[in-house]
Amino acid sequence: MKSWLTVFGILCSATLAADVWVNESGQIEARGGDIHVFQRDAANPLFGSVIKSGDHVFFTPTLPLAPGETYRVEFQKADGIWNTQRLQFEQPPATAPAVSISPSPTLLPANALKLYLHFTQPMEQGVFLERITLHRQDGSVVHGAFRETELWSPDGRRLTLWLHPGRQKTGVNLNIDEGPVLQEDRRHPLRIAAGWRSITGAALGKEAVFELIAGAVDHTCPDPQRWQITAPKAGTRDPLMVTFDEPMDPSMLVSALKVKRANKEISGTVTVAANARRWLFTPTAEWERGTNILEIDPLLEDLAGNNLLGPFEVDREAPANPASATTLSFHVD
Amino acid sequence: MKALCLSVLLVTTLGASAALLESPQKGGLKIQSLSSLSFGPEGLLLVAEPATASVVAVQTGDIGPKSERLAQPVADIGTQIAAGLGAKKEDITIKDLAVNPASGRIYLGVQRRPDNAVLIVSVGADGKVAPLDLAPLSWVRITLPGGTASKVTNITDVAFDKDRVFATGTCNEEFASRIFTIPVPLKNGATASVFSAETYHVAHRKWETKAPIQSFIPYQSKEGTFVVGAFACTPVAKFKVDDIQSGAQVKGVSMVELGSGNRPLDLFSYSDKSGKEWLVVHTQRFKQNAFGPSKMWGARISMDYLDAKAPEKTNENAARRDEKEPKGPEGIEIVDALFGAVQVDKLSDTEAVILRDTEGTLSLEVAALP
Repeated sequence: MKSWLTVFGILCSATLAADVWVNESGQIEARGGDIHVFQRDAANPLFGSVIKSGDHVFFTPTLPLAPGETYRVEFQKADGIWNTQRLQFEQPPATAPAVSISPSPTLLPANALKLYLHFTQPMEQGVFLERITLHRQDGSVVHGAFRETELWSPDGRRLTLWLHPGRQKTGVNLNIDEGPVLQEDRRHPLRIAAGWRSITGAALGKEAVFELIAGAVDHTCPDPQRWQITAPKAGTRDPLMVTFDEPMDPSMLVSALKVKRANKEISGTVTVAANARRWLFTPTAEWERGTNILEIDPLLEDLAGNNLLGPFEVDREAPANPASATTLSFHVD
Repeated sequence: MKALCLSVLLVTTLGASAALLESPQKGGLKIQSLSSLSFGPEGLLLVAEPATASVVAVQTGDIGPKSERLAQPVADIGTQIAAGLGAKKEDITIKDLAVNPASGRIYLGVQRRPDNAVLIVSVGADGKVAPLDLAPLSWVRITLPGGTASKVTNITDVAFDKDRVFATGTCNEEFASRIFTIPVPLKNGATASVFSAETYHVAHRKWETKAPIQSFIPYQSKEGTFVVGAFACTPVAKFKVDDIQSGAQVKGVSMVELGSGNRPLDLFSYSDKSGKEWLVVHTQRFKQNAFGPSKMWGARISMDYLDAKAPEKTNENAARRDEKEPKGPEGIEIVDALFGAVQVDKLSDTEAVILRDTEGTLSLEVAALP
């Protein structure tokens, strides 16, 4: 049970003449023989277990009680009479969450599949379709812009926002009937509602607006041969820098490239540029003179979902394109 | 919701609880997130837990034989559930619904906002909602394999077959379709096999590897064991899963296309009074239906379609429903009871349990299957 609850429960106990209080275990405790707890004026009680011990009764909620919430406690005293008291829990001061977008600036191919929203706190789930709207350059809303599946990172801070694949894929009925989500050479404001709350209940507080700028469609596989490697100097911990000829999927980049020497992975830290066009690797130990290999996950995608194995819109009956190289070598002098 | 094939019911009848879990944990289970629920035999509840990329199997002890079939519809059940969670009704999401075939009791996976806490509740014959007390129950958790080739961050569905559990997953970075299998008895910390699935999308006239399975059932036929999966847009395809090796790519055969602009939510199979077998696909349309009162709708598909083998009846030649027409082709029929349904699961060969949304108010009911 969170400390704010215990602390405030003790405060409650003083103001409620010790009939009902929150004890140090986070239970709602009362002097009496039975107890029911309700959220505000709800007709049905909270789920929880009730234990009687002596002339006290203890209610343990199945889910944690919520900060900022008021609970109605009905308890039966020793004389058999039911009493009602309210416990009001204060909302502890909370920092408003903030949101950023990746890649940034958000220059996308018109057939882009996804982008990422990063929040400074874990956010409430199940509402993203109501909290995010995409607009056309003229301000009109792009209805049905997103895939309905909600995909959060395990820590609840990163949302993968899929532009509806049925509209972004060429020739699919939705693409024909509704048109693509993004229009080439147009700006599309992406609006994030001010009321979106973090898991602590603190809202963003103000609307966030990001501009998605759509360029030409991209049906070409990433080709590492077109990447530029800036090799570091031996005896330093200078970063290895890989510059891409197009923005790559910024989240996949974190784990998609590995640096190896003599078939052994070199440990280090990865930094991805905000525009997803540059990848930096800083080794834990100083670089040694010699040849190293950059190993690339063939599933690494560009922003349109094309990976090293094939384009996103693949015609399986057409002759397959030769797969791109998945290793690059570089020399450290 | 997710289906149980006949073989599961057979195992239920015979009783096999001792063999379902190996060295289970006792108590201390906390479900961290929840995307899908499904039942195996003997009250075995399967919970898809995307936050940990795991499948959790729980012995509920709800094994009948007393019937807990819902006696009367429950109006505004969302308010009742929300009150139990200490939330406003607009601050809960029913993530999934599963009926325990051993008792007929209804289980709902619920998420509360803003803290994203999850809880499994059940509804008995009297319509009363009660939380599932996990404290005394035996359980195992199997984390789906990590690594680039199989990382999964959302589990779209999970289902029990007689000697294994299937799960389908998507990743929040790549757009891909993966099927996992876990051997029974389920062992805490066991490893799942993974294979990727390739499907012909009838509406796109293309083969695709990059579309995730939304919902599926295990299916047994004379030809072997299959996973029958539904994809967005909405091909229904089958994947033969006998003797597959982990890491393999399995080519699906598209059997039916329900029309573009649909997102499948639940599948189950049943036999009607004449003994004819049907696959029920519950879906959500992208926009308002041309043939019914709600975006939420469902159809039943004759199982004959799933048994088709000839090339002239599969993939690019698969039967296709015209999304603008109320009827046809033969053997594909709209199930009127599913209009407005947000969650569905099979109760028996004659009935289904439906969670219905009527202008923001949720109700729970048992409806007759055609």
